[in-house]
Amino acid sequence: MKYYFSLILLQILFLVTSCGVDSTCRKDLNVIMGVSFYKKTLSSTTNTYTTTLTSIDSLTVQGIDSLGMPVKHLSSSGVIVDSALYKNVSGVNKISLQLNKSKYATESKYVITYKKKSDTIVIVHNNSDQYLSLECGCIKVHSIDTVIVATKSFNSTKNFIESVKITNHDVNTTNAEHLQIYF
Amino acid sequence: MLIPLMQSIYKYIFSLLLCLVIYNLQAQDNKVKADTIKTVWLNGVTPFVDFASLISSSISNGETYSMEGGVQVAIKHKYFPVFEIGFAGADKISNNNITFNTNAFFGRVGIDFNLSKTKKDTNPTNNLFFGGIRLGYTNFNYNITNALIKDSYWGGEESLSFNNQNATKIWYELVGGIRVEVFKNIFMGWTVRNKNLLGSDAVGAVFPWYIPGYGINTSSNWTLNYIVGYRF
Repeated sequence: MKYYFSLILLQILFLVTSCGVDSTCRKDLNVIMGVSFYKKTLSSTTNTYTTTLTSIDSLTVQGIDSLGMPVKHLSSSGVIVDSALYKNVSGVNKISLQLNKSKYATESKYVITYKKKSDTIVIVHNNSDQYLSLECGCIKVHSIDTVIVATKSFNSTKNFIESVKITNHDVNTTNAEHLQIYF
Repeated sequence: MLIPLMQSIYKYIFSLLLCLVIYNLQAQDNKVKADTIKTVWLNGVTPFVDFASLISSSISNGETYSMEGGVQVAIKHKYFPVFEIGFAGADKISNNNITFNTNAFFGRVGIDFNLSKTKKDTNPTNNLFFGGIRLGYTNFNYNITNALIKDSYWGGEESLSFNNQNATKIWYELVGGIRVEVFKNIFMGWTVRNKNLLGSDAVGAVFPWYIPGYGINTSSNWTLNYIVGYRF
């Protein structure tokens, strides 16, 4: 009888000690703003606009810092270069943009260049901290307030963007659509 | 001829009466004993300490530590109400250098039930196989420091700390185990516990990595106790 009790105790010990907690973070620590491109077409018969998700070519997206300069980073060869999020890419109907995580940041600016025409979109947003776990730490989540579209030189004329619609104000995941750009 | 026969009859009757008297006395004695067993409902009070928590504390390099003990009352050899108290804490540094620390007292109340079957008309044994439940409670403060948020595109990083966060946690435990009287009134035994938190933390809110008395903050935990106690 004692032998069986010892055996059961040993098995339980193995069970208890083997149920350790995984200390590796497996979550994505960057939340992403999803932006999709739509073409607006006026129907001549019904006189209404129809929108269709459209792939575009020759697309370049570059972040602009608070001084109005392109965001730069140090390349592997030790040279400071512009950090383009997308550089002359083709066949994309959706892009993913990282908003500025700084606690002082209230907006994130991007220059979007399409077929050599550039527009600037300014995303006005609030940042807040969200605790995930001891293994993962915190992430910064955003709430989009407004979106302003301007030309690269910030005059009121737009080059190729017709309008921008906010479809989801809360940027707290990596795979949602938040903005629709119409052109 | 008649006299010896009468003497034999008298002897036989006397022996029979004597046997009946003895049997009757024994029966009365047994009844008294049985009545005594029935009327004694408190079978002892056992203070105990847990050695498994001390051993696991010593091998966890201070990351988590715990010590606990309690008092258990034996009623009718069937019911064992128990009160447990302890002190536990954690000093943890995660893989990404976030630190967590806490320490606090905790308490549990509950009852164990003797699951061993005893035959009728036999004295109940002090060795038992039991199952039971507990309700645990703790209120504690904790600190989380150095949670870094890095911005890989826009640049910069921010270090966040959450100090003096207060939490109250309640959980229930399903327990099972054995107790053996190794020497007179000295008991040893082990208990396996499945702990389950009542309530959950709000998504995005800061929450403790470790809960004193419960263990690492997951929805369910398994722990083991090895106790030594003395029955008064």
